[in-house]
Amino acid sequence: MTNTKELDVAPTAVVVTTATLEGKIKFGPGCIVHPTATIRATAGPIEFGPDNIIEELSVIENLSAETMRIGSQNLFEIGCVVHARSIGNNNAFGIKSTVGEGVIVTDGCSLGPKCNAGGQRTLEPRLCIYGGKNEEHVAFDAPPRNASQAEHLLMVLPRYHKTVKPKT
Amino acid sequence: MDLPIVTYNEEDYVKTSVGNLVYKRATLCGSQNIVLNGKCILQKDCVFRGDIAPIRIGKYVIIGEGSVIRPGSKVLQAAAAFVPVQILDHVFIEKDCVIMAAQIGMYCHIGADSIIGRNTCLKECCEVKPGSVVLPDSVFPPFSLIAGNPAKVVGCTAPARLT
Repeated sequence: MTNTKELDVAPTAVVVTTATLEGKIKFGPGCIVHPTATIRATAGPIEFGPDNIIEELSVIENLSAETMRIGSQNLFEIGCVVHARSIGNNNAFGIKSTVGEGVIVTDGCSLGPKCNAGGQRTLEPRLCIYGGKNEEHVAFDAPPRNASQAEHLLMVLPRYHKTVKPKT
Repeated sequence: MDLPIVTYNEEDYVKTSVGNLVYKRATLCGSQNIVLNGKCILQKDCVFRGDIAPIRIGKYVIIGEGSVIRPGSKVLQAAAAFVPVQILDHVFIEKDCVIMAAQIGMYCHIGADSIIGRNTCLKECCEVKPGSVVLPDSVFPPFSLIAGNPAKVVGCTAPARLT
C-alpha cells in the first residue's frame, strides 16, 4: 500500500505503514499519520511541515503539478477530503469536511464537521466555516494547538503499528 | 426497530467463541484494548482505534459499514487524555458514522453518516437521525430523538402512550 521509496519521513514523525501513501511525500518532524489515512501525491508532490496530524480515513490529494505545501500544526480530522493548493499553519479541518482544488488555506482557519470550502478562493486567516449551511466568521484566535494530543499519540502509535522508517 | 434479514458471505467474517461476527478486513487497532461483550456484528470496513484508548462494546451491538469508533481527546490540566469509548448493549450504528462519544447508552440507534463528537454522552434509547452532527461534550437525555447539524433534540422516541 505504501511505496516507501518516494517518502521522506523526518525522524520524529510517526507515519504508520497501514496508511495509503502514494507518490512523492515529505513529512516534517512530529507529523502523525493514522492508519487508513490516504495521502496521494497524484499529480505533484506534497510537503508537510512539522507537527501535522492526519487522522483516519482522511484524503489529502494533490491534483495539480505544483508542490502542495502544508505548514505546521495542522489537524486533518477523520474523513476530511482536502485538495487545497496550499495550506498554512494551525488550521483544523473538521470531521468529513471538504476543501476544493482551487482553495488556498492560510493560517488559523477551521472548518467544522461536514463543512465545505470550494471554488477559487483564499481563506483568510482565522476564518471559521461552521454549521450545516457553511456560515463563515473570522475568529479572534486560531484553533487550539495539537501539542498535548500529539504527545500522547507519538508515544502510543509506534507501540501498536509499524511505522515508516526515516531515510538515513 | 425490526431490521431486515441481511445475508453475508461467510468467508468474509470471523465468528468468535462468544458469538461476535467480525469482518475479516475490518481495521481493529490495538485489539487487546477492544472488548466486545458478545453477539456483536462488526460490518465491512469499520475502523476501531483501540490503540488510542480502550473501547468497550456491549452485547448485540451492530456497527455498520465504514463506521469509525475512535476515542476523542480531552484536554486536562497537564496534558491531553483520550477518553475510552463505551457502547452499551443493543446499540445499532448504521454505516459511515464517526463515533467519538464517551458513552452511548443502551438501545440507541445512530443513523447513517452521523458524527457523534468527542466526550458526548447519549443516554438510553436515543435515536440520532441520519446525517446529524452531535457536537463535542454534549449530553442527551434518555429517549431523545436527535437530528440536525448542530444536533438538537427534536422529539421523543418513547412510545406515544407513555408521554
